[in-house]
Amino acid sequence: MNKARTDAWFSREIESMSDTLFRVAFSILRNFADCEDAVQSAILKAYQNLDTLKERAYLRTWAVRILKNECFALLKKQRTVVPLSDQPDVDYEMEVPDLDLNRAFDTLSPEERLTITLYYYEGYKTAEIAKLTDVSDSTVRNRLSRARAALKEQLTKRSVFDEAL
Amino acid sequence: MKPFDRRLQKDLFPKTPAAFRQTVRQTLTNVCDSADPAEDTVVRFSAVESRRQPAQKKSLFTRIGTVAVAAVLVVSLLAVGTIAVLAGREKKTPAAIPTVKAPEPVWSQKTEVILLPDYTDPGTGENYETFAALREANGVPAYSEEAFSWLKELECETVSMDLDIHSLDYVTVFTIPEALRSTFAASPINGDAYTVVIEADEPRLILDDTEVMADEPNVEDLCSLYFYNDTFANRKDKDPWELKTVQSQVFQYEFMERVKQSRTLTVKMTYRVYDRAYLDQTGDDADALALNKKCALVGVVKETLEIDLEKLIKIDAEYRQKLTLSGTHTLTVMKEEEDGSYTYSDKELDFDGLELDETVQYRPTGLHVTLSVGDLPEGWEEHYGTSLLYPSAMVAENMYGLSAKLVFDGRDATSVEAWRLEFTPGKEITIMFPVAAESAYGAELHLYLKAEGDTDAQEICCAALPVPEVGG
Repeated sequence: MNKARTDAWFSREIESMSDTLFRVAFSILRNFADCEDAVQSAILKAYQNLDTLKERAYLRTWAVRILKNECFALLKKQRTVVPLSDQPDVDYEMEVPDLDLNRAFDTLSPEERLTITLYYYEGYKTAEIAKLTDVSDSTVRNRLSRARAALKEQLTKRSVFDEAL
Repeated sequence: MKPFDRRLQKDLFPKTPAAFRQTVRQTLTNVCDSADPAEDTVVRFSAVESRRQPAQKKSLFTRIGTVAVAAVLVVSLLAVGTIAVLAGREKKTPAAIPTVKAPEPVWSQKTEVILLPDYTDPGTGENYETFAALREANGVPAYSEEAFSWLKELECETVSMDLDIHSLDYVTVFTIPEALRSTFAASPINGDAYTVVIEADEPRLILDDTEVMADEPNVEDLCSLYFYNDTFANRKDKDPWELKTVQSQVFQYEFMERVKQSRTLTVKMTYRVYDRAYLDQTGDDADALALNKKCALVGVVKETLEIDLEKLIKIDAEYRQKLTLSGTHTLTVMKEEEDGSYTYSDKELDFDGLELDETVQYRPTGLHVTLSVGDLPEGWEEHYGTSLLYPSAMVAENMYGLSAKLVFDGRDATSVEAWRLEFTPGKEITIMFPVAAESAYGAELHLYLKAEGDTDAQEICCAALPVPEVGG
C-alpha cells in the first residue's frame, strides 16, 4: 500500500479512537495537558513503527499499548523531579460527571485505574488486558477485584462523611 | 448490569475535550505529512521523541504483541523445527510406554439450551411475551423458531480444566451443528471455545450487589470468552486476537456464576445468545443497550459444572531439577530503556553453564512444568535471562523466543491436547500439559529458541521428565 493510502488509513483509524486514547491517558495521568503530550508522543511512535505492525487489525490495541507506555514513561519522569504525593494532580476543570466516583478513582494506583478503564470502558477482556499490560491474567483479575472493592469502600466512606456533615 | 458497574461505566470520564480531539487531528496531520512511516520521521513534539532512534527502538508490543501472554488462554505451543535425534543421552524408559490419554476428569457437566419461547429471566421475570412485545415496539422482527431451533443442537463440552496458584481455568468447546456452519458464512465457524477463570486465591469472595443467595457467595464476573474459527484440536496456531473478530459475528454473552465454597465447586454459567442482526452495541447508554439486548435475545445456554475441588488442587508429586544448557545460541535480547521503550537486538551468547530451574508437578489434571532462570553464567547480564523467558508460543509464524514441546517415545504430544501456557514476563514460564501422570513415563521436554533474525529454531535443551510414582 502506498504512503498516501497508509497515511489515510492510519489517520482515520487513530482519529476514530480519540475517545479511547483520551480515557486511557486520562486514567493514568489525570491531567489534560499531560494527556496531550502523551498522545502526541504515542501517535508519532506508532506512525514511525508502523512497518512493524504485522496485522492492521491490531492497530487499535497496538496504539493503546504504545500510549499506555508513553503515559507511564511520562509518569515516571514526573516522579523523578516531583516528590510523590498520595494522589495525582487531577484536572477537575474538565467537569467529570461524578466527582465522588472520580475522587475515589484517584486513590487507586495508575495500573488499577488503567485496568478499570480498559475493562469497563474499552471492553477488553482480562486476558487481553494482561497482554496489553504485561502482567498475568490473574494479576488483572486481582487488580479489578481490588479496585472495585477500594472504590466501593471509598464511596461508602464519603457518603458516611457527607451524612455526618 | 449491576448498578455499581453501570455507575463505573457511565460516570467516570468527562467527555473527550474538543481540544484533545484537535490535538489528535493536528498530530496526525503533522506526522503523516512529514515522512514515510518506515523512515526516521523528524517531528519534534517532546524531548522524548527528539532523542529516539526508530531504527533501533521498537515498542514491546510490536515485538511480542502476538505472543501468548494471555494466561487464561488455552494454547498449544508452536511446534518448532523437527524432533531432534537424541543420540547418546540416557533416558528413563519403562518397559511399555503407555498411550497418552486425557487426564482424569474431576468434573461433571450438564448443559441446557433454552430457546426464547421457553425462557423466563429468573431475575426480572421477563418471559417470551415480554420479549415479543419489546421486539415489536422496537421494530425488531418477531422471533423465528425456524431460524434458531438449531441452538438445541449446540454441543457444549468442557474438555480441560486446571488450577494454578491463582485461578481455576477451564475450557469448554461449543460446536455448532455441522449442517449449519455454512450459515455463518463470513468465517466458517465449526468450533468455538471459551475459557473461564474464577479467582481461587481469595477465600473471601466478593458479594455481588444483586442476586445473592444465602448459601452461595457470588463472585465477580471473572470470565473471558474466546471463539475460535477452527476445531479444538487444530487451533494451536490460531491467534486469539485475530479470532476475536469472529466472536462478534455469532454470540454475545453474559456470565453469571455462583461458586459454592466446599469440596465441590459448582459453577453455573448462563450464556445469552443474541441475534447479531439486531444487536447494536455502538451506543454508550447502558439502558439503551440493555433494551437492545432484550430485543436481540434468541436463547440461553445454561451450563452447570460440578468440580471436585479437592481432587483438582491435589499435587500428586513434585520434582525439581536443574536443566543445564550449553552451546552457542542467538538470543533476541530485550532491554527496557530509561524512557520506558524497549530495544531489541540479536546476540550470540555462550550458554555454557546456564541453568534453568525446572519444577514438575504431577496433578490429576495434568503436568505443570515451571521454568525459571537460575544462576547466570559469566558474561550474562540480567536482562539476557529475562529475555530468554519470553515464549514464542502459539501464534504467528516467525515469532521468536522460547518454545517447548513434550515428546513421548519420539512422538510429539503437541496435538494430543491443547497445552496451556502461563508466564510472568521475565521470571518464569509454566507450561501445563493436560496429560495423565502415568503417561509421563519416558516423556521428554524439548526446549527451542528462535532469535528474531533466525529462520529456524534451535533446540537448546532436551531433558527427560522426572518419573512419577503413579499409584504409589
